[in-house]
Amino acid sequence: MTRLLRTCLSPLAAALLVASAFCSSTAFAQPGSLAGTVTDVATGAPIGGATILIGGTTLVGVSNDQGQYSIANIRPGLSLVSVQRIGYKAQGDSVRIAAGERITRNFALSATVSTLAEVVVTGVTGNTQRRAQAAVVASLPVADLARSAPVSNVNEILQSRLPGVSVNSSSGTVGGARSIRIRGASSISLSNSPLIFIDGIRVSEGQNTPGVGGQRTDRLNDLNPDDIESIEVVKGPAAATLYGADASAGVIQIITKKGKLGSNSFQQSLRIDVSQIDQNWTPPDNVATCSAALVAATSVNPLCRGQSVGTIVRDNPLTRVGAFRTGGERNLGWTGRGGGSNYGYFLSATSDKAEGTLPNNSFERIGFRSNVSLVPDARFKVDLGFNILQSDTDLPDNDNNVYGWLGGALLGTPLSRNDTGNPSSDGWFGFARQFEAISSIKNTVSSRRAQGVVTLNYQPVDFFTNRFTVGVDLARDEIGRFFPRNDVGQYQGNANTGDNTQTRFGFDRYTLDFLSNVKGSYGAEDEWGVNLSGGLQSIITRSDNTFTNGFGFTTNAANSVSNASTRTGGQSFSEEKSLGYLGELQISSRDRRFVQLGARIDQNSSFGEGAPSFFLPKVGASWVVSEEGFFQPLLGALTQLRLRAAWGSTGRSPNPGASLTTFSAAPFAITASQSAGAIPLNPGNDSLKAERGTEFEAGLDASAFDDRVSLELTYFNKNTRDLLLNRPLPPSLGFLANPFANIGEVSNTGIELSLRANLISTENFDWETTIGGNTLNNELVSLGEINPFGTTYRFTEGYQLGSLVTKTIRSIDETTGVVTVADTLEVFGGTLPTREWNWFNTFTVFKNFRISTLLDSKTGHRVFNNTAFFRETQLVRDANRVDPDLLSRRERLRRYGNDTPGQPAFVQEDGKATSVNEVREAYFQSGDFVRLREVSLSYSLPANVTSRLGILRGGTFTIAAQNLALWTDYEGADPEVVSNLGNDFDRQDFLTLPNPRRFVFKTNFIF
Amino acid sequence: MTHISRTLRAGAAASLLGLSMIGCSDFLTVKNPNVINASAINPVNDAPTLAASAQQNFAVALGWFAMYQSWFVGEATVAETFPTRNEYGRREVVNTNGSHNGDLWRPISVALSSAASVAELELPEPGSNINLARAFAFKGYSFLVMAESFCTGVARGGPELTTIAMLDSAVAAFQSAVSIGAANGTANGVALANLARVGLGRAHLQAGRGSQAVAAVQEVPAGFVFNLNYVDDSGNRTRLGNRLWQFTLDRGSINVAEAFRITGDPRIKFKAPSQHSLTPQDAISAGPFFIQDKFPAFNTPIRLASRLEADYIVAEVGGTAAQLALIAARRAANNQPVYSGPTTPLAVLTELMEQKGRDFYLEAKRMGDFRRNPQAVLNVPVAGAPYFKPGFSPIGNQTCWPLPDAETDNNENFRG
Repeated sequence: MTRLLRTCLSPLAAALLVASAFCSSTAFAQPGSLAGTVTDVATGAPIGGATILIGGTTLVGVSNDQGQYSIANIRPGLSLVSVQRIGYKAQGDSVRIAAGERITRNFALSATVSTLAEVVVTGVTGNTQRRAQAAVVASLPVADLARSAPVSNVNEILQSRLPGVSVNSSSGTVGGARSIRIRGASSISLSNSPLIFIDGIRVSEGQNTPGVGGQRTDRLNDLNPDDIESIEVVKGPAAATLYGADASAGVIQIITKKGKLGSNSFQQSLRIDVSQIDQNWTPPDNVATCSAALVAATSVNPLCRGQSVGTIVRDNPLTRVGAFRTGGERNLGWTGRGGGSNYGYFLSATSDKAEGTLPNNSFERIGFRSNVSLVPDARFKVDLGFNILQSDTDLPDNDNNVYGWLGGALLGTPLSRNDTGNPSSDGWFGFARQFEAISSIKNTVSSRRAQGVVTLNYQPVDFFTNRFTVGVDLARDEIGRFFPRNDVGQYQGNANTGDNTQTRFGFDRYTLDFLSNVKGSYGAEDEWGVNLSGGLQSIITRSDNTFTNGFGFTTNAANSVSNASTRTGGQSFSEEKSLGYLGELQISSRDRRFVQLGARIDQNSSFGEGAPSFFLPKVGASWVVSEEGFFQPLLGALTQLRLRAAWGSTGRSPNPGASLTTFSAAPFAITASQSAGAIPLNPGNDSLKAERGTEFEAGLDASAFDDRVSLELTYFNKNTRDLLLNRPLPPSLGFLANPFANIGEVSNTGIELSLRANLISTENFDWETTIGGNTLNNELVSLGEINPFGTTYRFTEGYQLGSLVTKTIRSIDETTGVVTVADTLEVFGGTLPTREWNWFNTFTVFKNFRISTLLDSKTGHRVFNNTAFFRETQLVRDANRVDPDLLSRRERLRRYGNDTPGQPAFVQEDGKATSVNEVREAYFQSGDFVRLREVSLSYSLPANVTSRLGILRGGTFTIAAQNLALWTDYEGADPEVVSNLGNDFDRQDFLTLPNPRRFVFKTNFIF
Repeated sequence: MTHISRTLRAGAAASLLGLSMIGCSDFLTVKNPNVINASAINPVNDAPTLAASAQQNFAVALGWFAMYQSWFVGEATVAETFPTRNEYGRREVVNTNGSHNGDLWRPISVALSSAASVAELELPEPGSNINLARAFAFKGYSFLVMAESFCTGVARGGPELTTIAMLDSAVAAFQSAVSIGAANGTANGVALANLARVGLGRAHLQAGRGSQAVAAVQEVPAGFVFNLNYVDDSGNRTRLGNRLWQFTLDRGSINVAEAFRITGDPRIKFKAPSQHSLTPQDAISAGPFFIQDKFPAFNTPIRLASRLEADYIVAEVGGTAAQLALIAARRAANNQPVYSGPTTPLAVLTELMEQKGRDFYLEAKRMGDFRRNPQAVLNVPVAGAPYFKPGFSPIGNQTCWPLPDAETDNNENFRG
């Protein structure tokens, strides 16, 4: 970082000086000030949170809850004032202020569901009004939403609220990660997760695991929803070009709350949430038939003893021992927000704690944030942000894991029940590995993060603005996994002697961003507007991983690795740097026709020092047709119509060192001692370049019926070329790793729709509804010269990435039992939903009661029900397999193959035998579902009550529920779970905890 | 006009600003200590390291082969739940089996490729260079184990090889190793030469060239043993530890088959459930857990070649009388009663294979014996019989393993 500052910023400083010299400053006379009130034109109610901007300056004010605002330091003369608030039509006015004068100007805003007047800040330069943007930048008003919705982290906030943003609730583990995909999946070997920015700085998007199976912790869980004002999502390359050669999976920008500049107020809020978390699931029984030995009077098996041979017995270890508990959540949050005439501040503190439904699952978060804004004069604004937090997560073992709760219980058998009290499996999968053994495993991820950001806005003259942002995200993780010493063989191997693995992970990411904009207007009545922007962005990422393991402890209390009889350790370090220059030209005509031309030139250390720069262009246009004269006769009920189209390009870069030809450290011990050795690791590829994602999107925004109905419709066609693929080498070449190569092409196309309507608006009843949805057609267009690869999730030209493959059943002969299947693996279905929709309703009754519902659905995809596959075909535990009467003969043949003794289970068309491991179509089940995800009822204290309560200015009480109902044909418990979050295309349900049901009581008091 | 002028001036300033940033290219230099850049390796100077690494690569592979072969030919049963590993117990290994590629094909390919690449180096004194002797010896064993296990093979991205082609490649490598090792003359050189002689005999025997097999092993001295060493390093167990012990202790995968639970014969070392506290991973289906005790630690070596093996080669080629003589010797040496069974050639060969099976239990030799003498090697899971775990399809009839799809899908020589 220091080097960057030295190398690049010295010229920057010089250039700024030059720029300032070109732009002579003006000596101000005594400034004036502006104050007033912002209200709702229909109700007269004050509007808090409205932003009041003084054109041509950095001056800004925010109205307080009484709608009052105040802005000082305004230069004498004519000023343009604009007022903006999400959900209201923007308003503008001109004000002439004399030296030292204080002017009062009130604004009455009209509610609207149209978003054209909104301002977006992500991926845009110059004119930031939504109407000027050629590509969609989706916005989510978190501050409003979080007050009543049963959400406690960013993933839950994003879940099912924005078309094209697919969040998958991967398990019922508290503190666990979710996967986020925006407009499908574009990359095979690189991450398909979006980049995360907070207030302009890129932060760690990472997930961590102590090795508990498939679940991970997620850095997004670290963030306090109370801190967030809004979230903006840049969905694809058409809008993300300015984020450079690593943004093809999209960008999520989290905008935190800021102080209320000019509000002359101080407001505190206190939030207390209490939740109850229910398992929302009954584990299936383990089923078996009693043998002669087990039915004998001397049998130790209490289920079979005394029964007749062949009796079907059932056992449910989790239920029997009462493994599940009622989980809960307790969240406390305090915020303080206010400001004076030229400063504003936002402070927050949070302490959240949650316990999952399994005994060793919990999540705690403590955080503090301060955002301070200063406006020393009309040309200069400084925003300082600082955030520290700590999160501690205890994760339970689950998924594909012999120590997992579900694995231990669902793979056990009633035949091992034992009532002697001696160590045994006693119905569980592992010997002596029952409740106590599994709950004693301690998996912890403790994260400490500090984030700082400084943003300087300098506007030497009205038409020339500069924004300089520098920020850092420092994360330190302590990851631990401990198996306690025991004498009964609860675990395997050395773990029984006590085994402690400790990992220390350090992650530093620095962001430096500079953007300069020149704007001008020309022609009669300023017909033409020009915005010219240029800047640079650099991101430096360093990660350092140190780990140690020890086993063999004298006592479990003294379990530091140093106390272990055997100890090992390791360390790794990586560093990545990127540097991009960007420029954009926006031309507008009469503020209703907009054209954008932009480009970014990128370099990334992953490609080596000599690699050429990466050129990323963009072009787009936006046209507010409804403001054209020729369109006025056509308007009718239609009040606004905008057409837009954009094309842009971004990329995706591999990990550091990806282009190198490398060896792997590989020690040898050909004598009794060991020495350092080396074997070929990766043949490398010195012509490597970033994946190139290009996207065309086009659509319209319309509103009708006096802006009570709005429609946003977008078609997108995202194409990734030069796919960075770990080109599969034949193993016989002897390399341990496959080299990256730029091969192939992936296409994602679809339509996104968002329909918002204020259906009923009366004094005592208001109904707002939003329907969002998207389609997705994901296709691997080309694999170049590479053959299809993957045995469960396969990459085949013409199909979805990572499609499920099987030897498809051709025929079933119920008489002979012969099941004939295809000779080779064939695509059976994709795992990415092809259709998603959500329906959000808000009913406001008697002004103070608010009822919200969120219903969502994903369809058109398949899930590998590996839990059923394993319980039915690998270990015979499931009633479907054991009880011959549950399934039809045809279905039994379909699932298990020919049961005739001596005959192969399945026969290929070419006559060869094959096994159930290659014929799994019965377990590649439809993942379609509809879920009632959220229901909430809120009551806000009326003003006449709060006014009598002294310091209390407002209060809201909410009762909410999450995951109340699920409609699906999927045979497992939950089609949303994902058993291996480490693999972008793994879409299996394998012994994964289903999503719980949560009831929340939320209170929010404003002082 | 003034407005335009100011705009232009500001634009010029912005352009200057942008131009001033160019020149930061050295900023992209980063540290990357996680990998060894190939340029840091000097093949000639580092040949001892590369050759020893290649030998270790083979030691890694042999551990895997000893375990998987033991399930396939009935030395052990699969005591774990992995579907892919149970395919070996059922003699029904499909080419998409992930363990098949990851645990067997890839390790033997790495061993072969790394040894072959060292063998190709232009090293000083090539006729007696110890590194070349080591590389050729383990290139030969890599080909040999591949040939005994896989129905067809591939070397270093090349075309599909028949069993005979693989064995011939092994023979050529062994011959070079014998020559170079003997010329080297040091203790290590001589040991490598004898190692290669046994391998040469084994390869000829597998190829059906009995007289050449006998000739190859004639010079192997009495008492000769070449062990692959392992060490107990908890941080490098997958590379340096004895795999059979790892999968006994940590995973509970290897259950000694009933036919090999022979008490009183010191060659088959095992422990009954009452004699140990380990548990099989598949605690229910695996049945009582009889663990192997031949390799009771991470640092227990695995014998790769010996004079004893040479004796078996000579006896197998020598016919009934020679076989009876070795049978008698081996029985006597191991507290077994004198052989009293039939003396038909098949019966005697069967008994020879039985003795050999005991002598080389879990040493990855029985699969080659089975393929060579399918009638004489007993207790291999019987085709068509039910698998010992419920719910699985019957035992298949494979005698060798297919190439994994990871090879056939990605090797240009397999493209139709």
